[in-house]
Order: sequence, then C-alpha cells, then structure tokens
Amino acid sequence: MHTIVLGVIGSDCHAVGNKILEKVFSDAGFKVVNLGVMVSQDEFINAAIETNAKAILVSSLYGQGELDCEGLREKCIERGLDKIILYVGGNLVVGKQDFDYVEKKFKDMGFDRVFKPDVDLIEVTKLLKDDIEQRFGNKDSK
Amino acid sequence: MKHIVSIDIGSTFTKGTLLIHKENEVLPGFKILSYRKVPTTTDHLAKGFFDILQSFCKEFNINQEDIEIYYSSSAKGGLNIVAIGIVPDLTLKIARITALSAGAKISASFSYKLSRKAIDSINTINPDIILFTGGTDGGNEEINIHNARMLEKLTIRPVVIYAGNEVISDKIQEILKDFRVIIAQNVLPEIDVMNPEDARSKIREIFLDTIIHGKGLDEISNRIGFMPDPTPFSVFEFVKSLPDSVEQIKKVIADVDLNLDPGIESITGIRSIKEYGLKNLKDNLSYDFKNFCLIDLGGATTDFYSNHKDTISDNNVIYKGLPEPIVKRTVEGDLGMRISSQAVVSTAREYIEKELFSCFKDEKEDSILDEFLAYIDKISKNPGYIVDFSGNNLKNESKENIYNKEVIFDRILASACILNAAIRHAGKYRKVYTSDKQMLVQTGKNLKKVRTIIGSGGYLSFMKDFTLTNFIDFGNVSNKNFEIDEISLLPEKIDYFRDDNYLIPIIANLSEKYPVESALLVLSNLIRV
Ligand code: B12
Repeated sequence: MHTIVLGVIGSDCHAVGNKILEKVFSDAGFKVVNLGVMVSQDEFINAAIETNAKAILVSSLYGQGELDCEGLREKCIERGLDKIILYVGGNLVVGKQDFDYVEKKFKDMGFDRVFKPDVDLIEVTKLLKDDIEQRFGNKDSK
Repeated sequence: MKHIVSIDIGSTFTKGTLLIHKENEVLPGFKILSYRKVPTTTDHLAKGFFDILQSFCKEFNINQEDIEIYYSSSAKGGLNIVAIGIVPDLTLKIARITALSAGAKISASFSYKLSRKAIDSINTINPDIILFTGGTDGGNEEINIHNARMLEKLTIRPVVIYAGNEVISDKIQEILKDFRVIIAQNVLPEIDVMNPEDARSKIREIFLDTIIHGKGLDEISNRIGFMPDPTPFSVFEFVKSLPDSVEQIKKVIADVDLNLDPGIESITGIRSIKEYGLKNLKDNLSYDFKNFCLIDLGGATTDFYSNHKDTISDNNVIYKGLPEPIVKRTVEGDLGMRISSQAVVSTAREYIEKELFSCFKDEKEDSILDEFLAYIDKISKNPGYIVDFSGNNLKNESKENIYNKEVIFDRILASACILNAAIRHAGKYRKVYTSDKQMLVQTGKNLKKVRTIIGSGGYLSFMKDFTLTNFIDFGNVSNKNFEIDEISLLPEKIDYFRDDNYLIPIIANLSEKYPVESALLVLSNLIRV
C-alpha cells in the first residue's frame, strides 16, 4: 500500500475539501496520512520522512497558495526526499489569472501536477498510482 | 498487621521508612513507625540499604523475612539512555518522552542519520541502553538501516531497544547481531499515534535484569529477592495513580465520618502530622488532584511531572504536533540547587540578576552579583551544603527579616529552576494572522487550567517559607513572551502544596501495590502554603 501525506498548507483553515480527499484516496487503496488544516511545509516533510510517503498532496483554498508553496520542493530535496511526488490543488487561481498560467507557475516551483477545484478526484487517484509506479518502479508497490 | 519497608537509594542519601499496613479500617492505610537517612555509600550501595533495614528490625524486634520490602535507586547516575529517532519533532520526541517516563536520564539524543562523530560520542557516553526508534510501521527504512550499520561500529555493547518501524525489525536484529537487541512495539506506529508503553516496560525490564548488576544493586536483590525501580519510575507511577486513588478516598469519605489515623506520629527525622494530618487530608481533598503538577527539585536536576488531559475547546486554537501524553515527565539536567547550580546561572542569568538586584536594592549591583557567584562556586563544589536558616524569615524578604544572604540566594536559585523547568514542560501558543482573523497555534501541553502544584525535594520540602505563588509569577512570564507572539501555557491560578518531610519519592515505591494507602499518607502530609 502506498502512503501519501495530505494537508491544507499555510494558515488556511478550509477543512471540508480535505476530508473529502482523505475519503477518496483511502477508498482508492492509499494509506493516507492526513495532517488536516494549517499545515506548515516542515510538517508535510516530517510526516513524509517518518512514513516513507511516496507523495505529498497539498491543498490551498484561501488564495495564498503561491506564497505558501514556494520552496517546498527545495526543502524536500534538502531533507532527502528527492524523489517524492508533489501535487497541489484547490483555489489556486486568484483574480483574473488563467489556469494555464497558474499551472506553469506551480510546476516551475517543482510540483508534478496542478489541479483545479472541480477536478475529478477518481481520475487523480489513477494518475497518482501511475506516477508512483513510474517514479518508484513496481518493486515498491506491494 | 503487616510490616513494610520502603527504601530509596539516592545519589547522596539513602532514605528508608518502616510502616505498618492497616487493613481493618474504613480505608486501608499506612502508619509510619520509623524513618532513617544515611549517606549513600557509592562504592557499596548495599551497605546503606542493609544498615537501615537492620536498624528497623532491631528497633521493633522484627524478622527481616516478615517484612515486605520495596526500594528504588537513582544512585550511580541512575538509568542512562541514548535516544535515537529520525525527525526531531516526531520519533525522536517520543523516544525522549518514553525514556523519561521510564525514569531514565537521557545523556544524548540523535536524529536523522548517525554520523561517525555521533558514534564516537556514544562510545564516550557509554549508556546503559540505546533506545533506537524511527519511522512509522511500514514507513522509513533507509535511515534506520543506516543507523543500525553505524551502531554496529560501536566499541561498546549496550543493550539496544529497537522501537521503530516494525517491518524491518528482523533486519535490524540481524545487523546488530553482536548486541543484545530487544524488540519493542513502535513508539510511533502511525504519524499521530503515540505508543510509548511497550518500550517503557521493556526499558524497565532491562533495568531490572541487566543494569542493576552493573550498579552493585544485585547484592541487594539477591539477598531480598526483589528488584528496585529507578526512582523517577516510581514517582511517575505515583503521579499516574494519584487521581484514581483520590477519587476512591473521596467516595468512601463522603459517607463515613472521617476517623482515620493520619499515619505519622512523632518520629525522629520526620515532622509529626498527628495533630494536623487529618485536617490536612480533609482540606486537601477539596482541591483538584485529578489535574496536577509535581516538581521534584534536586541538587543535580529538576524533574517536572504533570497529570492532565488537555482538551481543546476553543475554535480559534489549532493543535500542532504529536498529542501530548496525559502523564508526562520532563527532567532538566541544567537546573538544580547544588551540582547544577553553575548551569542554572548560565541558563537563567538575566532572571537571576533581576531578582538579585531587586532583593538587594541597597547594595551595589556588581558586588552583590560577585557575592552570589562566589556562593554558587562554593555550593557547586559542596553539594551537601545546607544554608543556616535560623532566625530568618523568608516570607518577607526585607533586610530586617533576612540575616543570612544565602537564604535569598538559594531562594532565587530555586525560583529560577522551577520557572525554567515549568516553561520547558508546558506548551505554547503562537499567534498566527490569517487573512480574516488571528488564530492561535498550540504546540505542547496546555497547563493553564491546572491549579495544583506539589513541591518536593530537599529544598522545597524543608524550606517552609517557600511559597511558589509568592516568588514566581507564571502570568508575567506568559505575558512577556506574548509580546513576541508566543505565550507559555503555564498554570494561571495556583494552589501550591509542600511535600512536608520529603515523603513522596519513598512512598511512591509503594503506590503500584498500595495506591490508595499511598495517596492517603501523601495527602495527609501535604501542606498548602
Ligand atoms: C466554507 C468557507 C469558509 C469557511 C471555512 C470553514 C472550514 N473550517 O472549513 C470560513 C468561513 C471559515 C472561511 C474563511 C475564509 N474564506 Co472561505 N470559503 C468557504 C467556501 C464557501 C466553501 C469552502 C468549502 O468547504 N468547499 C467545499 C469543498 C468540498 O471544496 P474545496 O474546499 O474547494 O475542495 C475541493 C477541491 O478544491 C479539490 N481540492 C482541494 N485541494 C486539492 C488538492 C489536490 C491535490 C487535488 C487533486 C484536489 C484538491 O478537492 C476538494 C474536494 O472536492 C468557499 C467558497 C467555495 N464555494 O468554494 C470560500 C472561499 C474558499 N473562501 C475564501 C476566502 C477569501 C476566505 C477568507 C480569506 C475570508 C473570507 N473572505 O471569507 C477566510 C480564510 C480563513 C482561513 N484562514 O483559511 C475564498 C477564497 C478566494 C481565493 N482562493 O481566491 C472562497 C473561494 C470564497 C470566495 N469566492 O471568495 N471560508
């Protein structure tokens, strides 16, 4: 079973979407470590190290996602999680920006995939399984 | 009527008491018959122990075989542990909590990958036990395996208790095949589940079957057939059991007219509580002993215990980090009244200077500071030093009341130790400004609503005039820190109790078998000041 770490980053306290993600990913067969709301970058990384997580799924709903996410990839590399998969989703588009622009920005920051709020979560669970297999190979997928 | 002896072998003194157990009362209880205190003979721990035991036998004409014996030891450095974890805030934190709750002293802790340098320093420390943790179950393997390979390079062979990711416990055992490796349940099986109990009891087992031999305690255990616990282990058990015992006492006492024997009469070395013991007990039962802190202020360390379940009801507070254990012990090696007094000065210099200058307003700051530092120098070299208190009145620190400056010096030292130990034991609020309002992020244990604090240890037990509330202002500390957006979650309103006669460590030995009796005796002996 693959372990993934979940949480809402920064001082964001929107709790509802996070619970839905936990349910959907658990049902899809992941071992979900849910850190809840107001999660700092360090907390994500600490939990991922101890649990040997394959991916960190970051949510940001309140409009400051860009600021909160900056440097997360670098910190992961710094602390030995060089291979970990990073996803981000929620309300990442602020004001009149378009999604492609926002997606590129987050990808440049080192996120592997970037999602809109209305994304089909079942699709995401499948994408994640594929991504994990690609990056970590089948030997780890027991 | 059964005779019971409890002995605590401390690093400087060995203390013992002879009690009788009384079954046929409204509540079963203890009565102290005798009390002895002799210097600990470090090169032969059994000597002080048997001297005390035999003197009891002679005094009351009883056979050693008829006595039930309990004892604890903190002599020869107590139980010395090196803790290893991966992330400092996660596995290493619980490893430390676990070791401390088992009554150990942590001589070093290491996170992430052990380096060559770390191995060298473990060799030098030469601990009794290495508590090796890391990873949730099914979690990180790589770092533990690296660490096991590093530990294998040690030239010493301490017992290793492995309480990390259980998936690789076989592998760890294989790598460390030259060691005695004990596998315990993972202290952190899931990221938010703490599980210190199994590792804690494994530590105790190892202490009993291996370590006591090295400390010369086996001579005692061979002769009486009983094993000692580390002293802080016993005290931890006492702190854990007190709320339930008090509950039981209250239940009985509610419908029976209280006619109990308070348990201590006039005995050499112990202040009698015959007259006021009963009244104490009645009074004390009206205070909260479900939630409380216990401070054991010693010459070398300050131990801080709390028993309190902290529930968060405020919507503006978000808890971060591992859940705190209900019963918790922290121990501070840099805070103590004698051996560690130099360290107190470096830890709390600012506080000490402030207190000194305000107590000795008429004196030149430099000269009073020099005097104080000279005093520290003296007592750190002479850990048995006791200040002459006669004729002084600490209740009012004015010139007319204090003839001996050392009385105030000691008082300031004690305040500095307690304050810093409390701040480190308690959690914190940190202000976080979100886009619409201010929130508080809590880490650690919230003691704000805890009222009862018990002071124990040579200084706190015998210095009658030391009242915590007079000398320490927790509120002030919290507020000062709040200016920098942080607030210490220290008790707000305090009911302070003095462990008269310094009974707790010695009665704690009995609390596993006789929780209610121990609580009765301790409660009759606690004096609210
Ligand atoms: C309820 C709510 C609140 C409640 C939250 C209560 C709680 N504890 O949960 C309260 C009143 C406290 C609140 C406060 C604020 N809120 Co509000 N809030 C909402 C509201 C109405 C609903 C949020 C919700 O629960 N949605 C339902 C869940 C199921 O959807 P979701 O959160 O979007 O999550 C799903 C997807 O986004 C996606 N997803 C999320 N993360 C990820 C991650 C990955 C990897 C993937 C694949 C998918 C994914 O999957 C989730 C499940 O389906 C939204 C508006 C809206 N309709 O979304 C505003 C909204 C989110 N809030 C907003 C704002 C601005 C705020 C405030 C700053 C102040 C304000 N103006 O109200 C504060 C911020 C407080 C803080 N520190 O976080 C804005 C954000 C604007 C932006 N991002 O550009 C919104 C969009 C309203 C708006 N249109 O202005 N809010």
